[in-house]
Amino acid sequence: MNLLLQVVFAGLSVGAVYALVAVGFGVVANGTGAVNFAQGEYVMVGGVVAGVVHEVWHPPLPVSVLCAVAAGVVAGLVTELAVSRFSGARSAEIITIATIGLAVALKAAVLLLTDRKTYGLPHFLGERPLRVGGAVADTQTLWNLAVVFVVAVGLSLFFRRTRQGTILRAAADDPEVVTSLGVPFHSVARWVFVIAAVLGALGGAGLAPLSVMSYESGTLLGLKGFAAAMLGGLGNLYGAVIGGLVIGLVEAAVAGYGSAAYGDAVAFVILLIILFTRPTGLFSQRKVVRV
Amino acid sequence: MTDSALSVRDLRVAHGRLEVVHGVSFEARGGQVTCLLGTNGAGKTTTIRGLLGLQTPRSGTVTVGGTDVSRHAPHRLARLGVAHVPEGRRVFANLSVRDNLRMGTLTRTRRWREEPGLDHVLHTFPELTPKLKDAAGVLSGGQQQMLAIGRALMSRPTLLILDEPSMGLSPKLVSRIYQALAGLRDDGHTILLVEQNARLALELADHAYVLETGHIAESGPAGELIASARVQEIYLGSQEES
Repeated sequence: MNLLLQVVFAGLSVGAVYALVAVGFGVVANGTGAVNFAQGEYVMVGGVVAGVVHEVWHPPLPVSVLCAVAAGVVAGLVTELAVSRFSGARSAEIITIATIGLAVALKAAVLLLTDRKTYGLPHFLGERPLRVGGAVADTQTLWNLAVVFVVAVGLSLFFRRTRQGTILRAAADDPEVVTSLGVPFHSVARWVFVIAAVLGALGGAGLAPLSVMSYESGTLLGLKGFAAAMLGGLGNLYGAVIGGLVIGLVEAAVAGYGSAAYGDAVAFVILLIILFTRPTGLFSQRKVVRV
Repeated sequence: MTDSALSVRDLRVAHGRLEVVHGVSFEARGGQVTCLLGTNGAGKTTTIRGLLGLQTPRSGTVTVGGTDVSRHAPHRLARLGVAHVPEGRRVFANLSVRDNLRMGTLTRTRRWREEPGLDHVLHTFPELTPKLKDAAGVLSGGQQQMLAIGRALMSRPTLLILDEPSMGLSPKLVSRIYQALAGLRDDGHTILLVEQNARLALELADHAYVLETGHIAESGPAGELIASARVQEIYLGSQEES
């Protein structure tokens, strides 16, 4: 068996989920200036909801995945209500703190509802692994990579071509001017949190066939996704995708060639290195702006 | 049309605990240019930010076209037709010029491609036409000022508030901007102009107020203020050098 290829496949399938989380971090950071600590919990919510729906009703798989997406929409709306309406928060710092509270609340709610049970899903594209060049590729790897690809291209078109996408880009430039052009802050917040939560939930559904999900799965995924976002440069869409894949790959390499016990530490080592050496990320290319 | 388009009564605005606007009252009449003159630190921008709700005032009443908007969030003023050209232009640097202009239409249409009023703005500022696809951040200061005004005009405002449109521009560009503002006045726009450049502003304005350390020190028809000793001394005297 080809270990290198094996490591690559394993790294990409988890890395794709980190990438989705990282993109979510970037979208929220651009729209509100805040770091969304509930980002990992969206993955957990998506995975658990898809798993519960599958276990209880046995619907066709797409239905379970759609339920995860719907749960993501709800989670995003709840986040906006919690952080921007109830707290009346405008500053990035207050929003960031509010998301920490929300993350704890989401986790506790799922704990109460599921009573520590774990949930999984069957592989979306069939259980039979593909044999490629002496290695075994999980079909879920293909699915997860395809989702990341579609999300990256779709979001990029959304941000460049549509009215709402342009409003969100403008808010990343100067949120106050956006409000004086007629768009309230909570509208921007609602869009970015729903996008971020749907991405997380999609990632959770895609991860559930690879590793079981429970109320406590989100926190670590969120932190790794944050490391990925910082690696690519917070707010950089393609940087986030690459950051996620890189962290997945390095993690799989450490687990494959070294010890699986150190796998989880990889993201944090990378995060620390990035924060010390290039806090704006690998791909930062801050445009020179004449004022 | 000479009814009050904007009326501000006893507006007080503070930065934290420090009050910098101490009960300012003035009004802008429909179809006229009203000017708020003041030197650096007089509280001009803070007054504007307070009346727009960008900074919550301590007290005071603001009415726009007869509607009390004193506690309204900024986006609600935009929906009432108040457009703001902020100090320092603040165009969206990463957006194209065209997208910046489209951002001005948010209160008018939900369709992005419609661009009502684009022709009119490009007629006012033909300089922007060849730049439509460029990022706003690479424009020159004068072009950015034109873009900021154009963005505000895209909303077809009932009240246009300009905060120091001459700031940081060469004399040539300043007169270009003021030429455009004169055109807008002749088209019947209601304008509230905040300026440090008294000579230019008073030539354009119908009515003016002089703001000093957070108080209205003097007010009257623009033509009379040009002759006033205070304005002569503080503003016009110092303008002779430039």
